[in-house]
Amino acid sequence: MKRGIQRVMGVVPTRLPMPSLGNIFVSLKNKMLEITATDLEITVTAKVEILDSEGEGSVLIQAKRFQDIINQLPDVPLEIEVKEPLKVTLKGEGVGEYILPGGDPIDFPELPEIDARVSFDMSGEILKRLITKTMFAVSHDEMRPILTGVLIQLRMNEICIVATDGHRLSRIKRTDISYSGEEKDVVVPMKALHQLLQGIEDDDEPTIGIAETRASFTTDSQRLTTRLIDGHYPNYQSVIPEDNPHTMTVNTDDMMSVVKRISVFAHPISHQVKITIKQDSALLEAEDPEIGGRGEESIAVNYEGEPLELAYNCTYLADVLRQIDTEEAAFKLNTSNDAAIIKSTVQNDDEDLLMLLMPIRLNR
Amino acid sequence: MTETLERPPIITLPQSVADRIAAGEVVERPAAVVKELIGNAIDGGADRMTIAIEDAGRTLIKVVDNGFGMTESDLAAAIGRHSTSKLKRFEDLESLSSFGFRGEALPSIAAVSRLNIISRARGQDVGTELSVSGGKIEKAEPVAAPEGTSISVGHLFFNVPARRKFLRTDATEFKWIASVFKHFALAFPSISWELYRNKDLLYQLNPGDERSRLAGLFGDDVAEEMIPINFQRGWLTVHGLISPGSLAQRTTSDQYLYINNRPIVSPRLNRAIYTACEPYYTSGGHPIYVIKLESAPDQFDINVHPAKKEVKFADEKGVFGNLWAAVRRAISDDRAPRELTVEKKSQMETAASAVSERSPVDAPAHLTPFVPLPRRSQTSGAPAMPFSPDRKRGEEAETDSQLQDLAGAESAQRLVGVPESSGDDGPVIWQVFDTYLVSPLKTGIVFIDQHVAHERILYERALRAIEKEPWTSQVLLFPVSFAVSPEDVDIVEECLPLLRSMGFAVDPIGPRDFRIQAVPAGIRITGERDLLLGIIAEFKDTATSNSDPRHRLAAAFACRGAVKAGQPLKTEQMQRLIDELFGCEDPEFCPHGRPIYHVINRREIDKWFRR
Repeated sequence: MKRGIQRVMGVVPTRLPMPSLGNIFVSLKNKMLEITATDLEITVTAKVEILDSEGEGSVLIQAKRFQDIINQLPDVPLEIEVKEPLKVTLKGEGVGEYILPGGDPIDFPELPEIDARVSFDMSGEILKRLITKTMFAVSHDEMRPILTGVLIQLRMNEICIVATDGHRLSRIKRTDISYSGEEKDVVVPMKALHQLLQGIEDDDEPTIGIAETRASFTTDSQRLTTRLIDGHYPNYQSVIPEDNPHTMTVNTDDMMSVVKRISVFAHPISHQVKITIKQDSALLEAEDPEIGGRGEESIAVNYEGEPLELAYNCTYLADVLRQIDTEEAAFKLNTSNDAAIIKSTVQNDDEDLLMLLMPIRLNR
Repeated sequence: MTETLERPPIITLPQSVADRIAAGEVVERPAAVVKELIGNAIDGGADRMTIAIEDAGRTLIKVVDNGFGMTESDLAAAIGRHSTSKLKRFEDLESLSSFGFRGEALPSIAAVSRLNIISRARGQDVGTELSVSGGKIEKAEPVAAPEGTSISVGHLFFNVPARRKFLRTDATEFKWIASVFKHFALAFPSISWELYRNKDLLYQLNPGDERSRLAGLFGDDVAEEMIPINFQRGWLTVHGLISPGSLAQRTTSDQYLYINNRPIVSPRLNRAIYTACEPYYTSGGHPIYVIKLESAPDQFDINVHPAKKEVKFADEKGVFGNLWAAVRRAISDDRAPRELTVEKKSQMETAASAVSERSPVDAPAHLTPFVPLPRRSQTSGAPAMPFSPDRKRGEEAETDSQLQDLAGAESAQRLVGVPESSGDDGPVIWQVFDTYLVSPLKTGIVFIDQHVAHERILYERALRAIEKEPWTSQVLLFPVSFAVSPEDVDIVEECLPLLRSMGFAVDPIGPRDFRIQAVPAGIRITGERDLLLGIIAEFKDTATSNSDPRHRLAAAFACRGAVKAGQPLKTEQMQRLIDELFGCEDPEFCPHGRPIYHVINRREIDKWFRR
């Protein structure tokens, strides 16, 4: 029960567009207990194992109070009873009796039925990996809602997930997916992805269903449906440079440590870090002229090409490095005004992760 | 009283001087000349009009029409003062519906320019050419000419250097000319119009109805969406077009109100329109409208001063009510209100719920909407003094120390119940009405307007970037293009170098198209295109003020970039906002002069409870 409530609490809105959304919908049917919460955009239903049941029905329970009491209860079998209309009694051995005011289930918004035209299964572990590797680049600009979600592109035996906020981009492809349906592009909102990361276990085998305006992710213990973001995702393929001439290879962890140290001295607003790349070393510099702080550190790199001077937002740089699993990271570079492509030096056969970072123009 | 005051002798001014003084009243600026000439042409029965402007009217204003035209004697008379053909045609002044009835326009213009008129009256074989310079007729001879009148006003104010000096930049002067043009073009959709600027054809408008005229001026998308208004009650008829809430504008520049086809300005009637459409403008903004009132001439009075367009009605309340009803009925028939409120809210939630609290590198940068303002020099570990000592006097001194208390880390928590512990001992801040930040002080309560506070922060930051150290630019992966109306091109080009030092890299990519390649690094921007268009609109709107363009642009950026009233903020955003505000040079007033914060003293609160 605790786990079930945890799963659904994430979608209970903090500011309520409708008062009934502060409740969770509890329903007993065919000897199955389900609890549901929704913010109208995302709906999560958790299935709760029950030992025994009597009768059928549903009731609304104030989400916050229900969670608080369940969390405080020890791990003992509980008896939940709705005796009189709209009065929920909680009982358990050695824990006394609690009465929660219930609500009329009719007040709860009607749950969206999803008529999936496309449906397939994949491993929970892989799904979570795909989300993690892209989610950092999702935009928070409400003026461009399409970028506030991740793009999921389904192709024959292939899934490709893309996120960008217009300053950086992350794209991950898997070619070990058993998918044979139609080609499909959908954009899933960020909040649904957060919920999935929390709600799905590595050994789950979620079934993903996609309809016109909604998508669902169903496992044995929960089902999440989300509204899809409407609109045209920008043509990201055309902005990924294919032939950046210079490559810099660097130890991922070392680079990360340097970036973290340097960023302490980065300008507090622009977060700018300057990188001067030569044959076998790169010099990272940051400066906050307002307080007079300054830092520089050199790092060994493998680099062919003309010396280059570039600048990036150090936060973005750290975000990117964090996604690299291999010992070394490869930066494919062009000029100081062009996109950099960052990849792992060794890629799994079935997976292709590409990240793109736009520079900060050096101000001379 | 028998004392006689000694009276200075009255001297008659030479005619040329008197003319120039009188001219100043009618022709303040090139746009006024354009207005008079177009008005005359319309009175002259023209249905095709070509207007050519060079150097924003400084060098040339030319209006060519196909109206009745004038004979040689008409022409000579037109140059003489108070010669008007129009009063003969109408019985009394009250019922006048023509534009230039005072007979002042042409002589006034002639007095301050080099005027050339070529005209052939309908039914005449030959036309007449008349040249006047500074009020003196230099040439009057027969000439072959098409039917109609062509008037060229060259070198306006060539003999009035003071007036010439007061003209604004070309971009601004042309903006006013374009506004006059649009007012007439919308008032007379059945006339075909052309407007040239420095030989480029800006607008070519074919005869049609109001909607097609709007399409010609603002584009098909806008015209299609406009809601028709048709209303008649008693002696008042209202018809026209108004935009739905989805077309809300950032500025009020596209609002056209007429009475009997004469453009007017009326704050009161404007309010009637706004209150009528308010429920349908759920996310704010201004409507575009073209609204024409028709009324018997004896029901209203237009101030006849040539430069003013204000109107008074015999029955103000009736007009207000009827106009309100006309607009409300049109717009409510067209759309159901507030259809999207729930959806929007849930989207906002999604964005807000994603914010987490981590160290700078661990947290994605875009999650921090407010970034600390560069601190002023901090030599010791003490918090920066938010105020300079010399500003302290009397009660304000107390306020100062209160605010230091707030800006510094000293906690006020023990004074009030703490709603939700934020985990550190920063000051308690609440947000009320999603608009004001409220925080308890040792000796009172401070209220801060979040929008103006952020405005002040961004203003100082932008100004520093423009004047001292240019801001660096985050290059965009998807450059954003935008188009401006032809007469705004100059304004945008005037802004570009300043925008560049603020971190916006904007390049021209077409005659009226621009591309945003980069934005100020690290400053959270939502909707680059809207922000930039907003800045340009704001910059344009303030073009009439005398202030330095750098300040105007910084203020425009601050105004458009700042958090809005009504926007929920997270605790750390509020805290940073307050910290940055009191790091500003002048945390008391926003760039427009509005106060940023207000303190209620404990003494005052005590009084409420008679302690």
